[in-house]
Amino acid sequence: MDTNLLSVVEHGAEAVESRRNALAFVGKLGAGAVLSMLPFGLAKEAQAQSAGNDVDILNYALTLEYLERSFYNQYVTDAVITDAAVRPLFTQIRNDERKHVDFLSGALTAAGATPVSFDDSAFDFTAGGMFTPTDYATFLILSQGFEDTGVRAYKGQAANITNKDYLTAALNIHSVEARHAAAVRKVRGLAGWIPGDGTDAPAPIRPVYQAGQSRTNGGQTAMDPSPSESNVTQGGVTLAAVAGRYTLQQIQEAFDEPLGTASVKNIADPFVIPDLGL
Amino acid sequence: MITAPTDRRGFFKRAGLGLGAVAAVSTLQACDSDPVTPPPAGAVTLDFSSDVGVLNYAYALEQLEAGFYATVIANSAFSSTFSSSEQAILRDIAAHEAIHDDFFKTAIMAAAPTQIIPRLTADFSSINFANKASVLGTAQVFEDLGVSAYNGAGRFIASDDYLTLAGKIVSVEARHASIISGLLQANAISSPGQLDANALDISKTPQMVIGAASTYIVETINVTNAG
Repeated sequence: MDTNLLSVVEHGAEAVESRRNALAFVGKLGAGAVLSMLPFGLAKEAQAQSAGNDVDILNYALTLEYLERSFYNQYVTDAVITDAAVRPLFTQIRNDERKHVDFLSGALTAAGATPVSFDDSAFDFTAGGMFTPTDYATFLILSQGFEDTGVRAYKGQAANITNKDYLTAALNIHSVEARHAAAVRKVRGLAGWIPGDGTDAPAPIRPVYQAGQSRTNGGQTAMDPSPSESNVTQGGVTLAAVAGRYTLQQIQEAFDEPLGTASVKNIADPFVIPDLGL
Repeated sequence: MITAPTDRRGFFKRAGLGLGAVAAVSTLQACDSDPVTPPPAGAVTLDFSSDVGVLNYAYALEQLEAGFYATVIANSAFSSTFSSSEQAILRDIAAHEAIHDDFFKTAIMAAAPTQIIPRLTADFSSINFANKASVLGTAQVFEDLGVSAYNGAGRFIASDDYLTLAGKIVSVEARHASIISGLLQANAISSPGQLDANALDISKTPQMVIGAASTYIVETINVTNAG
């Protein structure tokens, strides 16, 4: 992309690596968003980098919100959710994801950028026939997977966001995804927190809890060094169980781990019909 | 400047925050049989001009939460007040908050040992630990407050690593908040008014958070350089 080349010239290889990650998700979907960065760049190159990255990150988040919204739009029905007692929960989650889509779209438009936009047909939650989301148990597994992925995806971008107001907004969405995730896990009979790297999770969503994966797309490869949800080394401190106070599993539960774009896109790929890019 | 309540004459105020269940029990028993004059309330300053100040802020909140849950699970009425599934949830949360508390103490001691704030003194006199509604209602307040606090503090964190670390913890606080809310009201994921019209959590400034938390903390906590 032109802006990548611009970055090479202006900011060198480090900037390219950063932008490669940030831009990747936009791919062919977000050409408008990328073009919209140019006025920023022309105005002041030092700000162009940060403003552009923030737009890319918000569009990445927006794409994930569209995925979630589409999932609940299609499957939050009485026919799918056979347990009437939890229908209000999933109705709220669906409505929350709709609001997140509207909020992020509005924020991007307000910033002079072009938000990505998808209708429900851009997604296939059967993943090419692998899943039957109309089956309630399957619906719940996919819901858990999407929500816990959302938590990791937002967390993985927090440190990449430059604008403090965008950061606060992203954090305020991130924690709502965690609220969703905990509630869905509870419906599935699990604790609301993540006990390790997914050995208790059904195979299709196990990667949601595992260490970051590399991703190859368009002849290029992106890495994601994120640890798995079993990580017990935080801020350089390796935590150990204390008899009578807490266990190793509870240490794993007490910290959620981030996930980079490469892994998130690998997880999302089977459900997204357009090419998500690198 | 935030000033804690001046009425310090309560039983639970002497419970050490974050000492763990066993320590909390022994502190309470000691108070019961041999009351001692509590130390005068000191003043603690949280300076948000540096990441250490933000870490101390998190440490203060985690001390408060850890102290609360340690007292919850150590109460003699715990097993008769809560169902077995509720007990499991509260024990897990108590462990998570104790871990956060221990973690921040260790991390700050490693990074800036001369700047760490002291152990704080709890005042839980407004909480009835033998009453389910009182405990769960307070838990919901603390968890939602924790979410709002971390979300509002993100903008003050300079280090990418510390910002990500805060993110690792805040989502666990949000999981707690969701589960506790669900115990209080079926299908609820937050207290009423905790999410705004866009379905975002409402973040709070450090001043707002300390103002709310000061009800439960004996020491006066000052907030500086937080906007």
